[in-house]
Amino acid sequence: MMEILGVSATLIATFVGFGLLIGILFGFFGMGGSFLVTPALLVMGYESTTAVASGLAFVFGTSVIATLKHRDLGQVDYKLGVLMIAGTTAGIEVGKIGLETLQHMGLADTVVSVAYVFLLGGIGAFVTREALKSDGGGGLEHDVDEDADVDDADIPDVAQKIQSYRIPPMMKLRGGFRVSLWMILLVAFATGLLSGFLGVGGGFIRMPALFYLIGVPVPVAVGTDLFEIVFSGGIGSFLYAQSGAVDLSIVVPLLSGSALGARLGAAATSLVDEGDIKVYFGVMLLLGAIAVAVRKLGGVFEIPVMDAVSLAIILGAALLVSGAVTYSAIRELRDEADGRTVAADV
Amino acid sequence: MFGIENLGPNAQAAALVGIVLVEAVVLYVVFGWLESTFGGTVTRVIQGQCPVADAVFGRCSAAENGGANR
Repeated sequence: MMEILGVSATLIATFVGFGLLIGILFGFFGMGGSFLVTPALLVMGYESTTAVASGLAFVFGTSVIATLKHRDLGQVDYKLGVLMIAGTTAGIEVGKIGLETLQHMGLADTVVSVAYVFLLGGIGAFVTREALKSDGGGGLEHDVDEDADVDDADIPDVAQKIQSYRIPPMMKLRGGFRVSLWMILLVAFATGLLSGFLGVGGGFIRMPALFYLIGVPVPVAVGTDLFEIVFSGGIGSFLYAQSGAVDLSIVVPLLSGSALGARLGAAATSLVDEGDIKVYFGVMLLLGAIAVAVRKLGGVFEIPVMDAVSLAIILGAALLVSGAVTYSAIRELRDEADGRTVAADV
Repeated sequence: MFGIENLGPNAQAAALVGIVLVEAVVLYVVFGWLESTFGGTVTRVIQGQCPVADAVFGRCSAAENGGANR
């Protein structure tokens, strides 16, 4: 069989295809790296440190590409991103202390597993319910600049409440609204706390937090979340690479596929209706919660096949959701063309 | 792989992160060029304004949809 740099061509093609799939989701939602790559590598027989480290290096590379694309679309708020990094870092440190305390009590595995499943499922159910309640329409404009006026009706109630606390200094964010710096740091700290406690990247917590708690438009929430992942992923990759755990024969082909996927996913955020983005995000999290629950139960009852079932659920969900995203983007493009044709006829 | 095995742990880690970063930026530039070169044609094919065969033989002009290129 043909080999490239000691790796079989079939394996490289598998990684490129898998990278494409993950790239679409990552560019579209700003999450999904540790969720998808690490379990897949584990099932493929890689050691856990190699799976985690290579997954992290891949997430770092993909986040660079997706952030650059979101920057082209004007969907990254750097000020907010830097504040989020500061608050999240502090939160992660405190979260880790909580995790270590639980480890000393011998409760870490159970508590973290249950909390992870409930948090994934809870956020998924909440986002889906809110998106369906608002009937999918009336989303914020996709082309968000700093001076754009945002209709209050488009900002979630909790975010309006948080924006109403005018403790100086006030920060002007993309979308044209102002939020207290302390409120941003508080939200960032809370998301970091959960992320550190659960030992996860936290994109699935940060993206909805930016929208529902701070009031940032969804495409900007995705772009800013990805900007933050560039730094957390880069530092994480460096730390794991020091012990030689990163395998470039995994990362390089995965990244080749995700480079295209991340561009497509990021571009789709400027086409697909904001309500639809939220529904897809919610469905992805709900299916993710089921997959994690199945894997954890398999561990508790020592049924190894449950790992494969869990991976099948998560891969099925990834295929389903990335297919729906692509379909929605194509439909929007076609509707746009039909609209232009009708306008030209009139 | 890539000849960095003989470096010390810190240098090797920095080189690994650098390789991933360079690959990401190169891929971003390459796909960006492909997008700007063929993106308009692909969009017109998706929008049904240009048949696939015409697109393959480079017979899809931007003027067909008013010159819009996305």
